[in-house]
Amino acid sequence: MKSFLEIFLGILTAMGGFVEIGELVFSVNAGVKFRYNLLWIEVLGTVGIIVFSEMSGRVAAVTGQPVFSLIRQRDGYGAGLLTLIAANAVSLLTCVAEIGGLALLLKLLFGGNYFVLAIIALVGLLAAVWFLSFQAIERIFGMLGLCLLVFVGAALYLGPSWSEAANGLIPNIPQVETKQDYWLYAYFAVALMSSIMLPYEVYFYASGAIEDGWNASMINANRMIILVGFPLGSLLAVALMFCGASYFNPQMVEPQLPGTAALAPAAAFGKWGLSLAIVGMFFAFGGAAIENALTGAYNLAQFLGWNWGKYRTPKDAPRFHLAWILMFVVAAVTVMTGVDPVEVVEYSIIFAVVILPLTYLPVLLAASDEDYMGPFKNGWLAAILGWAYFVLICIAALAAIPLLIITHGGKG
Amino acid sequence: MSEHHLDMVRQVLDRQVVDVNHIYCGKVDNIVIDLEGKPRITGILIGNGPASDRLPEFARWLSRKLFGQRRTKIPWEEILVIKDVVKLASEAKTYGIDERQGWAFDLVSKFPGAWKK
Amino acid sequence: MSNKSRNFWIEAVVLVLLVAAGAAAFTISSLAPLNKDDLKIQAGDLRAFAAAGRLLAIQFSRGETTETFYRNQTELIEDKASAAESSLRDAKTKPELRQQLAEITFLAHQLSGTLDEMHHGSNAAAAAAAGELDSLTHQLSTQEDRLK
Repeated sequence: MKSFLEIFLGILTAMGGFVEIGELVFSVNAGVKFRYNLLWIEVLGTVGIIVFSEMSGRVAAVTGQPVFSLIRQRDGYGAGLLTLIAANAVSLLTCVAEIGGLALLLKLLFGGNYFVLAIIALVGLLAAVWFLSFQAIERIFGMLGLCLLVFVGAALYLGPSWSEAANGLIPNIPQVETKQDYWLYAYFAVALMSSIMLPYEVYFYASGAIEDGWNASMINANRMIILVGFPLGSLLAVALMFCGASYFNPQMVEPQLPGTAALAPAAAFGKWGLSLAIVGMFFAFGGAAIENALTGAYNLAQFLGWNWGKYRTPKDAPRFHLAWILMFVVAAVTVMTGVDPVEVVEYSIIFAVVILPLTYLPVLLAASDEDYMGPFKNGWLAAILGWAYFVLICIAALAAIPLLIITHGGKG
Repeated sequence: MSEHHLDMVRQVLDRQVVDVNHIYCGKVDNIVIDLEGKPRITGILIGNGPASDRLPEFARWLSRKLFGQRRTKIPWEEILVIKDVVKLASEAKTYGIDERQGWAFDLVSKFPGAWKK
Repeated sequence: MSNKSRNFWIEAVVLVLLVAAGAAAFTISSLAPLNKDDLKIQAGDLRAFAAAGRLLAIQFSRGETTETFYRNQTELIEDKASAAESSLRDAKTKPELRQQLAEITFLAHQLSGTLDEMHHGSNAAAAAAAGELDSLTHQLSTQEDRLK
């Protein structure tokens, strides 16, 4: 039975690691464009990621197998390969966006050339993952990401409209100016949900469980960490939406840069608020970059049967370590082409939702399989929620690309 | 090895292969069946060559072009036990499938601290 | 032709056609003249840049951000505004929208100019810049509303 401290730290880490650049941008802009009306999506998405993270963690703890091993076994080589390529493409794009975001934040803190700062970010990330243990990385980036709590403070300070917010918790269709805005609302709903349920979360969570040496006795601790940590983490995203609704919306600002989003805590708490926001974003984006690079390496190694894991030394798992290094390097090179990180993450989130069914179905099936899971297979609650969300995800996956096109790339 | 029923597709194909020291050596990418006389399974195949054989035509060609056609046959007698994974009787390097003997290992060893966790 | 080799060519051709179709769709949409919706989106983006710049200037003049943050964030917004201005200059549109395109392009130019002044100007100039950006925000918003 894990100690109380371990669980507490796990909760903090899960909380601080919840937000990354895609969620940040979509949450704030959802608040700006539709005020509190998309709050129900935050809830829906959070419950969804809880359901699937719990399942993937449980499967990893009981079977000792990470998600991609199971994908290959259950779906076969061809379908598994397709899933691998799709999942890693999305992780790579997300990594590009996070590194670009880090470069932007470094620029706001220290000034300088964006491209030089991207290289500095790359070197920092490589060093952090190479020299630190898995646990150290998770703790440091997760907990320093908690500086984003300043957005919660800012949201409260800036005077949200609680009655509107309460209404936003119920699935609704808002009053809008033009018909086109209905499509935009649907687009934001899909994108926001996807940003919370990104595939890498599930892959990383399961691999992390094995890195941490979990077995079946960890299942309850796993549940506690998820059931407390993830909803608390979603509060950060909710706070961003609140800031969008109460602060940026009246000013007609639609933040497309992390720096603009940081103006909300700056308004509430001055320079200290600004600094905390930037530090929080820095570790949130950095943590997400690391998780995506490692996920790419985990997926590849687990699919092909290589030795893998940060718990293995580089000499014992050379291909795995080269893989995550390559993920970072390719991502950084892509940042150097000058693409807008925020645009990149917007597209990658939409493509992520398209491949989400491919990711979640194997997890759901494995977690329901008595041969694999024995007494730990899905109970009635996990089964109902799992299948309900799967249907929802399929609908979102089908709607995503048409919505992207109708809304001219999510602009309206 | 025990005599009971073995489902080749569900219990062997695409399973993790480990050596006698439990080092990972790849996946069971394909299976060798000897068709002379009575059909017999004579071994498993590991490598991109046999794995690509399971893809549709164009994908097979592309995969071979990009990642090579390496093919390692492990005779069926070399398999020690099949449970969740396929365990082999000897060390990985005996069969030539030890990651630590390839260029990846050489490259990674050059970085400082590669021996540390 | 053997079965294998025929399948190979079928798959290859299908793949090439898909990629070509995608590339064609992309090229067509980039080269097409801006319609009402596209122009509205451009105006909306510019309006958002102006508003972001304005908010930044106001908050800096209130002492809520550091100078480094102020200068560099201004530079980042200015880069976006200049890029938008360039793309508007190169854009074509239907005859009935040409007047509005010209007006929006002019506003984009003013926006880039003001942001540039903010970037290189004194700290005290921030408040004045905020005023200019406020006016630009409203003018761009009006343009955006006309296109809805």
